[in-house]
Amino acid sequence: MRRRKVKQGFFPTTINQLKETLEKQFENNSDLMFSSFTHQGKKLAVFYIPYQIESNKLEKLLKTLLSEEKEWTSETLLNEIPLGSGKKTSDLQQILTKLIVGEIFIYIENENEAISYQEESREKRNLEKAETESLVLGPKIAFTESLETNLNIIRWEIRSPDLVLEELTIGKDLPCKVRMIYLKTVANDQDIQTMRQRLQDLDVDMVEDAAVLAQYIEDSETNLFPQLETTELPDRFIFEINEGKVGVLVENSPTGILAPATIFSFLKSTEDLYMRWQTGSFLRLLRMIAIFLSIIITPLYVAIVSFHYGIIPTQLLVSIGKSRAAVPFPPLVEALLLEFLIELLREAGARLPTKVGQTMGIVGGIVIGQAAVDAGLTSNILIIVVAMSALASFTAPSYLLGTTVRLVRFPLILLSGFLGFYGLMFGLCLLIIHMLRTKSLGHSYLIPVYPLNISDFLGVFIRLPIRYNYKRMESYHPKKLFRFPKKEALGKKHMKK
Amino acid sequence: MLKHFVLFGLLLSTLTGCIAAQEVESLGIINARGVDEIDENVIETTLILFQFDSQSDQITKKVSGQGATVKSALNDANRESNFKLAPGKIELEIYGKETAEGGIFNYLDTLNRDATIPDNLNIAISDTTAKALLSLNKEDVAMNLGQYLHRIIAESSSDHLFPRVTLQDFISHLYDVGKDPVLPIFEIHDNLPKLSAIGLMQDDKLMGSLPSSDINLFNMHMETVKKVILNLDIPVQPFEKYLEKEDFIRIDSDVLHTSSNLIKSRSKTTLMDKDALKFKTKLSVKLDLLELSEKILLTDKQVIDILEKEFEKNIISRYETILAKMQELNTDAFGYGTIYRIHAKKNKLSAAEWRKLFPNIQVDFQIDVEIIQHGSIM
Amino acid sequence: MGVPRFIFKVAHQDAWISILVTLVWMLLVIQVMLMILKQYKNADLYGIQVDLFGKWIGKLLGTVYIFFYFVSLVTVYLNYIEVVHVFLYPTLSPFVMAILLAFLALYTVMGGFHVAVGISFIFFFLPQWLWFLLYDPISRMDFDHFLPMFDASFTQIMKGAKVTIYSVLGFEILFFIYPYLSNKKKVRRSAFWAVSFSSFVVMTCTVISIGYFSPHDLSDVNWSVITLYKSVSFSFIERLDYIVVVEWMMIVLPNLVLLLWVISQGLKRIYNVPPKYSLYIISAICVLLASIIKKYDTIHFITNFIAKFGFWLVFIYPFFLLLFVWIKKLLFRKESSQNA
Repeated sequence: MRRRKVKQGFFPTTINQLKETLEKQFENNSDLMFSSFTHQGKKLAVFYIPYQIESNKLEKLLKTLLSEEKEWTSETLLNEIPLGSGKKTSDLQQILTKLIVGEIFIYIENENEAISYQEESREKRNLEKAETESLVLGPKIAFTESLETNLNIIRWEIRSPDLVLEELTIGKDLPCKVRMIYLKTVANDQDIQTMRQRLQDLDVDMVEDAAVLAQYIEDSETNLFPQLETTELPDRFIFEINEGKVGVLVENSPTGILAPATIFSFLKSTEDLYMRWQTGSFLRLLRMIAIFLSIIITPLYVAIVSFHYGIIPTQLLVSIGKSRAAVPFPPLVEALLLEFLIELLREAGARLPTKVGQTMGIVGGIVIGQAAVDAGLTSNILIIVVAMSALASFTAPSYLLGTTVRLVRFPLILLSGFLGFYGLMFGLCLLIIHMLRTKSLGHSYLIPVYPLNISDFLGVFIRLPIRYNYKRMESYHPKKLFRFPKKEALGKKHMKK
Repeated sequence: MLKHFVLFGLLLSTLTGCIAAQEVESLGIINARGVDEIDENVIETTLILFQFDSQSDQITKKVSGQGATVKSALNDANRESNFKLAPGKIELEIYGKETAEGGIFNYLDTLNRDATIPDNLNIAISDTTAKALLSLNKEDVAMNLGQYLHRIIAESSSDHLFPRVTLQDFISHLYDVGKDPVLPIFEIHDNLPKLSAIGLMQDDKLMGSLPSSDINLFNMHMETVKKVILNLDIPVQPFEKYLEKEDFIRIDSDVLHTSSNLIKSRSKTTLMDKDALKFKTKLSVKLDLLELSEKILLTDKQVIDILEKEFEKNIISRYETILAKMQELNTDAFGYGTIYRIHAKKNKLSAAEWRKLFPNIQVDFQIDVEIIQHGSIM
Repeated sequence: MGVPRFIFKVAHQDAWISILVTLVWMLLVIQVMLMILKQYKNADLYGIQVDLFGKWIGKLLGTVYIFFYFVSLVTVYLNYIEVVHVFLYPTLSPFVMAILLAFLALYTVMGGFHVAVGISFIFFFLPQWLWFLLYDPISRMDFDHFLPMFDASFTQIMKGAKVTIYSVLGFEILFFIYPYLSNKKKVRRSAFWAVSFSSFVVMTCTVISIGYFSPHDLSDVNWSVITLYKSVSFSFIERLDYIVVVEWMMIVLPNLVLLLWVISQGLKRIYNVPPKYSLYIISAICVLLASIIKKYDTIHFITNFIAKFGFWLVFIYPFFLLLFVWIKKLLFRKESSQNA
């Protein structure tokens, strides 16, 4: 954006001079529309970039401009044309920037400034169903790339003056609007301050996407775990904002960032809330177990088959032994091979169009798996194990955590292949220590397990019955701890006749 | 942070090739092991293995080897197999009768010392030699012979009762002062292994045996027993007048054979007189009647009473026989010594002292039988 | 892990009484420790000793503590590696095992005190499920083994209590972490709970071991607690002893971490060695020692040594220290009253 420095005091100038200067700036760009005409003896110029503006608005503007039988000056323009908000601009650099984002400029010769009207037309996607975090129950719309749309959704959901949408601009060369969103009566000031500070201190040329921004502002970049929650679901975003978290929305990105996060918040889904508490709790626990299994099950197989045959009861051992007999590789290689295959399938499935992707899954899963066993390349028990671990890793409501889980498996498989249970335990301990060292917006990543907070503890693992869900997370010290008084919520059910 | 990852990477790379892997398919996993002392200082082991060979469907194999110690015999046996023998899953250890009579402690020692050997492996004695038992023609037994024997043991006992004698149980009883271990004895019957007797041990030596029909009585004395079939034979004579007198029913013999379902038995032994070595064993038995060899009218309450009485008498007499046998062999499998030890207090009872005392003990058996149900007919 | 055996050897079937005696003693020591610590506002033992005995003797005593902790650290390595060696990998070199443990400990301590505490906290809860597996040994217990009760003499019980010490050592760390604790009022209650729990653990293990093993057998079995798990089996898993041995890493690790932290703190406070270097050096020496010392006897000797050392340093010394603190306070008061 930063081109040649244009010297100050550019205005006043003649229309011809202006045209020349502008055309020089837009060299090789045939985009600029510059038309000049004379009205009531005064020379006027109107310039804009055609596809960035709304053309019928322009027509209206010109109609009013030309129909009036009076002499226009900048002042009268500003005061008498009731269209949008006219702004004065005298700096050429600003004119250039504004032209790009769809403003129409009018310049009257020998005036000190040009007048601009914001009439941009922006192409955007319609609201669609969420793709990566799909829900069975509950609202299904996802954020879009348009910041205005996203803000609109949020404002309609939280119709409270307490909702703050702070605007910040990040990026030196390609500035980008970022909104920091929180409830000022709920969110912890410390968290807000930390987030604001991190956003303000950011000194980068541009922000590609919210996911990139999240990486810029997270606590540690060498860490394996995602430290900020990202979501494409407005309902999740709003839900967490209401819990007292700080959210960030970025222009041109369909992803919202939420902080602080814990490992458990990645395993939560808003769907838990929409279900009855028993099923909600069951599914949440299922997900937690699934993630654990997904990490541990293949390494466990490798460790057992390579070192600790004693741990399997004889009956099972016989069937494992039989299926292993034909395989020419050691268990470690066998497992890595199959895990690699599964990862390939997944990645291919993600890159291909949906319909082809499905076929891909079937071909990969059934045909290749069966063929691999028939060819004696893997044992069929391992196929079950690997498929189970892949399936389990899909249950993570957050795609980011899912990918971390996929990644973590490989070092663990290696460790158990080399050292058996000892290696596996080493890996798991390392993982836990790593998690303990992780911070999210300065908070521990394992809240409320460590530091332990008993009143939060249950709420994390179990989706409490709705009337017991009256508290926000104590560990984050929100300004307003209680969402509603417990007694009144109880009272509603026992209303007097 | 990054430093740690580099360090971790280096660490991982040093690990490669640290320990020799024991992949399942490269091992001959020992399932059952037989030990016979065939000559002085020569031990023969017979092993039943699982081995997983891609070229054959046969997954079990029998190998044997000889040596001065069990381990050396194992090494010798390994030469017969192209797989590395692994002892981590032994389920059954069998000793030949002669070997057991000579004492098995030495062989157990190696089992106990090696941490890779499971503690819940069962120990048994073969009526002939261990080799003969483990070498039975496999066609009659559809499955691996070691597993087959293990199943017999597992199926015929629930919980921790005889004949499920694990290594841990055996060692524990062996070391307990005033208690002798027992082991199940297998015999070969029609080319099939069969649980035939309770082997009574004096310390680690096999002294004699009780018939397998006494197993339930034996267990009832030791622990609470539930849900087993109890067979008792009582004389017909006291039921003379309650027998159903139909023309087509003939009375065949003097003995009434009965089978009942033992619901629950509970036993308690106390020392009555320390100096006179008098003990009292109380046993309460709750039964459901299942089968009577003669048709007796059970409508009368008295019949049930008589039945209970006769059962009690029978059980007492059988216990007395068992005890007499034990005293004759001087093996205290019931563990009267442990009770004596508790009351011996300060002057600690040694195993040798109890050996001297045991043949002289007197036990007063008090049996209380209660018949709860007698089936769907009267 | 092997404690029940040692206590049993001395106090026989009344071993559990010994453990109770130890518990009472520990509670007493903690009371004394807190009394000492309360005299100072925010000081650890290194500071207190320097304050009491002057720079030289104070530092010397501090060094004694560092030495004690260092040897404890080495024994923790040695004992755990030995168990893994016997139960899991007879062929794996101790060097590899030690270096992995050291890496974990270092990685934790580098994260700061908060991570070290977090590890202790989380790894305290994670292995608790092992209790459930003990149902099988419990069902096989022979309660006759406890009879006759109260058979052991007083000296036997006291000796048993002394043997228990090694397994309950570690609470003296309170001397060093006290300044870092934020809620000082709750310290006593939590310390009492913690000590009671650890005694309860030792007690349960001992009681089950006595019931499960025959007396003669128990004095022979080296790691009775792990052997207890050997007979547990389920339809899909057997030989839980393997799992227990590796799960034990979670119990060992907090010990390593806290000891390492205390040592590095001590070196910093007394000799001004920055923890950055001392941590690496101490871990390196530990790994080295752990991979050199392999003989059972040597390990046993060192462990015994540290148990005796710990007895004097942890169970006796605080009483004297309290005495000194009081004396000093008296003197100081006199001085100040004279000055006034």
